[in-house]
Amino acid sequence: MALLEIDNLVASIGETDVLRGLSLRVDASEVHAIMGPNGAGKSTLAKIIAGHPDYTVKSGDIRLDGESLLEKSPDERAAQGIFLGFQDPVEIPGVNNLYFLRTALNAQRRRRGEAEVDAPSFLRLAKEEAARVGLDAGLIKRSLNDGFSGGERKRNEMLQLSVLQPKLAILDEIDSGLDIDALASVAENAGRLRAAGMSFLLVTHYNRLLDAFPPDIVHVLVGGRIVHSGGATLAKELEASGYQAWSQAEPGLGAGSHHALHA
Amino acid sequence: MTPMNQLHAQREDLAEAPSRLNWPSKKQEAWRRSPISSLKERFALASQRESPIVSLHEHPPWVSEAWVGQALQATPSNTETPASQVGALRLLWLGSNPLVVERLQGADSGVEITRVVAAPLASQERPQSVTASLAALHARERLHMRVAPGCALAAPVELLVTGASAEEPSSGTHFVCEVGAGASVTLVERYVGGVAEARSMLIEFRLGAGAQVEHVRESSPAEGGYLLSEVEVSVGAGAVYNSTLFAREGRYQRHDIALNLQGEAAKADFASVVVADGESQAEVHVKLQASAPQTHSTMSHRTVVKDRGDVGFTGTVAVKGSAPGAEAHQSAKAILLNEGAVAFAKPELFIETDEVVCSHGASVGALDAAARFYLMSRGLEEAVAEGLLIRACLLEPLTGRTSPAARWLAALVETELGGDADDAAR
Ligand SMILES: Nc1ncnc2c1ncn2[C@@H]1O[C@H](COP(=O)(O)OP(=O)(O)OP(=O)(O)O)[C@@H](O)[C@H]1O
Ligand SMILES: [Mg+2]
Repeated sequence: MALLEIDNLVASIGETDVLRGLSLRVDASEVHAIMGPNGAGKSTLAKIIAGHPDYTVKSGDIRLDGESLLEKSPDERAAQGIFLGFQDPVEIPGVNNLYFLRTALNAQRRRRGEAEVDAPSFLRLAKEEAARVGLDAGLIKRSLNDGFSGGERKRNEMLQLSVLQPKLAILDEIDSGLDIDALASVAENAGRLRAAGMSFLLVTHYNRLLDAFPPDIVHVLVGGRIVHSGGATLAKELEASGYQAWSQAEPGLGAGSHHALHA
Repeated sequence: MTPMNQLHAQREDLAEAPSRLNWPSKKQEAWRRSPISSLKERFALASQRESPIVSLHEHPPWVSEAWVGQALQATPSNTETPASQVGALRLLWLGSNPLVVERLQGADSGVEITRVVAAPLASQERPQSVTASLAALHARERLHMRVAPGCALAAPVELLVTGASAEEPSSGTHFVCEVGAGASVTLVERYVGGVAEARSMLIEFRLGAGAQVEHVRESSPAEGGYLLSEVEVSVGAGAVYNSTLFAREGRYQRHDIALNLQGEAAKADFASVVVADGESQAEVHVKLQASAPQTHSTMSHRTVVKDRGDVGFTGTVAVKGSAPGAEAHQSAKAILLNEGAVAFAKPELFIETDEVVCSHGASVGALDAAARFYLMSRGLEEAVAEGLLIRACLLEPLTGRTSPAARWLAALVETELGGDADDAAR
């Protein structure tokens, strides 16, 4: 049984269908990359898996460990093993970073029937992980992402990921805004977590991250569906050729056939 | 006629006085949520009843200390105030009667308190707001507190105000606090309405050069109670007036605050936190005027409204031509938790000089959906996520305030929100 299974998902926001029959399978310890043009629906897919209330799933299913997620709230999904690293993590002044993370961790653990982590153990864990992702110890005691730079926010997403230890990490453009060292540390941390059994769904526009943290499978998402999948080398080819061919192949956007890239 | 009878006669005459005041018309107050002229009747002077105004220079004999204790215990929120923890001066108003309940060891050296028999008619000599006039009319005597120059009171002075009894449907408090040059004092004001009454309050502060006042206020009228409160502050050169107001409950409460920065480099920080639910209505109107050079001020208002609650805020900053170099910052945020809850926030700036740094911002709306989703996606239940966001919003203006009195008020807000007074918002 696959860890994550998405069957023929059609989802909309307002009047627009953003996902239009998307299917995907991710197994344990696998790394999948999703690439595609701006507005293709990558972030939408990420948010729908995490349970964002603004989207309506019209048909299809999303299952984790064989269990449908569709009726579950975002917090239930989190406890079950979903983590979404946001493309734009929000700033929440007045909510303390560490307090929030400990509350979240313990809420998940309670729901899974696990023992809560006490404050001192949590602090040790958080400090250790913060050092790993290169986040300043003073910073993590501040309000959640409040006044953080773009790169610091992404590092903070990585900190949350390594503390919360989900089964599936969906990282939406985690590489944007990161400096070279931070990117290396993200790749290193992701590699470590993967070795421990975590699966990844990486949304990215560039090869930099994928070179350091190679995916098993690369998907091309255009117009709300996956139009092509291939091995790690596909990312390189896309970098060279762009998405032009796939956009033309998109029925909604004009006539065409599924060939081009490998032809 | 004996002086006593004379007094009674005067009171009889005054019975009608509240309705003769210059109440603003509904039209004049259209910009406010609730014109107060509709409250006229509620603030009638209770002169017909057997009023034991025997001697205005002593504690009324019918008020025993035990009775005072009972009245305080009957108040809905009995959280210890910082003042009662450390033991300091406590001033208590039962209905309209001011009592000095405790004077503890040395805490009050350098403090002089006088009772001044209210001269209600005389008080109308200068043009006053309806609230101020009402308070002066109702208060049987006003307390006048003077803190000697240079005197630093280590422990806070507690101002406790509560409704005396159900038979006294309306009452008033008038308190004047003069803080001498270089003196400093913390005042913890608590209006905890034991009974549903219509109360008017007038508090005046005069800060001498370099004086420092921290004024921490809890305003919780009883269910069905009405409160009109006015605070007038004049801040001398280099003096600092810091105030935090936490308002909740009651049927209706209105707080008018006038902050006058009169001396060079005078400073005022004002923050109000309002929680309204059920049918509660609250208004906070702050008027800051800078009339000397190099003044500094902040004004923050935060509110969360649910059910059919209704909260209004206006913040007016006027920088006079005589006040170059002024810095004034204003911010107002209101969170509406359901349809039917109402809030408005109106910041206004009137600037008559070029050399100023001013900022203002106001937002009214539902909880931030993106923030809520972010928190929930990490495993927090919806109610917990919302609680964190509400707390963060309300406590934001209090986070920089580290004094014990301000921390006490922040804890009170936490308790109101059902928090565990944990480190959630730091
Ligand atoms: N609230 C909304 N209302 C209407 N349309 C929306 C809304 N949110 C997203 N969309 C549309 O859905 C489509 C997919 O957006 P999405 O954010 O998933 O793209 P993306 O693939 O992540 O793009 P990028 O590479 O730029 O991050 C876009 O056309 C976008 O305009
Ligand atoms: Mg995106």
